[in-house]
Amino acid sequence: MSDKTNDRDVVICEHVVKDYPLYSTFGEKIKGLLLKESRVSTFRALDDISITMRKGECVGLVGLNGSGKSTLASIITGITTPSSGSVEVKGEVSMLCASSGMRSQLSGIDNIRFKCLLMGYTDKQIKEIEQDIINFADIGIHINQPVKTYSSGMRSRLGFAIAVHINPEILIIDEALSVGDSSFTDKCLKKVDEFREAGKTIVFVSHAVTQMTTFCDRVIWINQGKLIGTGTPDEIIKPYCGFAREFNGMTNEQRKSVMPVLEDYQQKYCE
Amino acid sequence: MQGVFMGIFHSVGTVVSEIWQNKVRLFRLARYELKSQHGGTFFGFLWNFLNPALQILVYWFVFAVGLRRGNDMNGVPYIVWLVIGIICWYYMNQAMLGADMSIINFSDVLKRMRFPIAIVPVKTVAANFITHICSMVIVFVVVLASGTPVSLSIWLLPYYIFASTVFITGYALISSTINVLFRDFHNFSNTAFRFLFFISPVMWEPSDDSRILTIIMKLNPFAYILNGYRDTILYGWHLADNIDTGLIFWAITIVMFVAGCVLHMRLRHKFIDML
Repeated sequence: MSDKTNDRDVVICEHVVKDYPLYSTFGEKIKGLLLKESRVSTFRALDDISITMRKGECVGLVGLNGSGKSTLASIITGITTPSSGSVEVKGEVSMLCASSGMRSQLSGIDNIRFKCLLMGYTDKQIKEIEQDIINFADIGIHINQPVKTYSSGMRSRLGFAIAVHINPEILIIDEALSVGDSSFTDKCLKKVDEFREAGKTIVFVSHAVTQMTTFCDRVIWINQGKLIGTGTPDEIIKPYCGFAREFNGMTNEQRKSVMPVLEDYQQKYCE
Repeated sequence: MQGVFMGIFHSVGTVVSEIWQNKVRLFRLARYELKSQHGGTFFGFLWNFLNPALQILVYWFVFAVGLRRGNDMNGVPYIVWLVIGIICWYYMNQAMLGADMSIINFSDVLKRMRFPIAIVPVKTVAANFITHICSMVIVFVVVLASGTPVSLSIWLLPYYIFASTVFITGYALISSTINVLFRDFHNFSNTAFRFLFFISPVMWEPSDDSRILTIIMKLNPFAYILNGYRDTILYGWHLADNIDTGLIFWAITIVMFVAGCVLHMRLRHKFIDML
């Protein structure tokens, strides 16, 4: 590891590259799986990303669709491995996605138990936190109804409630808060503060940039798999929003070749 | 050469220890799988008993009432003989076909959290195992109700349930992995099982004069299990009758299990990106 590494760093990514193979025929797929080196064309989802995240920090991850945010989140979680580069993570990571891993036939309460079970909790441990989760989600009598009857807001409240109670060292929240109403967001904000005080690291992956301004200590902007910059929400959010607006007005040709430079957008949109 | 053996040993070790460490979790996951299968139904968990009971009722209607197939199978009513075979076959068939799709059907979880993947196909087997134990209760009710005496070898039945479960698990490791890469596999296995149903002694037994069929039956692992169930419940079990087929069965099972572990470990890191 490099000299810059210190004890407070809990996630250290160095020159992380992730290539996804694009198999066009079945034969190619077989070759790609069995042979170590194969000449299949690839899609580069992450290109030379080097970032660190510190203990007790709340980090936002922004970028347009397809910029590689979720891929980076999966790599940090350890679900998938980088094609090259190194990732070092200290502590348990838990990733939360709005309604992933929910079984729509099961009731809310069964889903709490099911998800805790997936996380490796024992029955006794689940009993201990179950009531807290139910109280936090605050969806009343619906907790005994099957999740298929839930509104998307209720689903994500339940999902968030479960995620913050399983107590990981690093919590990754992927697009989960974008559906909650403002009172629930306040509640989450309080929980995030609690987490921060307990020295845990939180990573927000979201398009909801206004929330990031209130939640996050630091924001990381990636675009087309490349790191554009990191900084405080004030330094990043406005330039990012400006870029996103410009991007909307671009033709498809322009979109392919555009690669923002942070300083230019900061000059343009800050102040 | 030594390296190859070490590799195989390591794969089997990893898979077996992952399953062993998660044995409790596995059955609890299986419970939720069954629960969500029966979610929203009025009878809920009772369906595990109702399903085999209704299935048996259909066969009883077709064979005992409709076709009036009265001829006994070595002194046992045909319907009793058939029911044991059908329930045993149903376990293997359902568990194996379910295992094909197990990893694909669990992809929403696997893509979002770090999870010991090896236990995914095994928890599908576990869910079918629970259902099978419930079905066997119904089978015993049928056997006793028909007045057929239960054999003294009944204490060996758990061995056959265990043997079939190991066999299914080996298959599950292979098929769940292949199916991620090659989804057509499930369609092929579906057809293969339909064929195997007819070359296994589920609904009929091969006559002694057909040599080819007799050989197939000897090599067929399903036949070993089916005959084992019937011997232990109905006819009495004798070592001499089962030793050769037993050895063939375990040879096939071990090869399949080891191949399953190796294939699974070889590809598990790659298939997350393919789900």
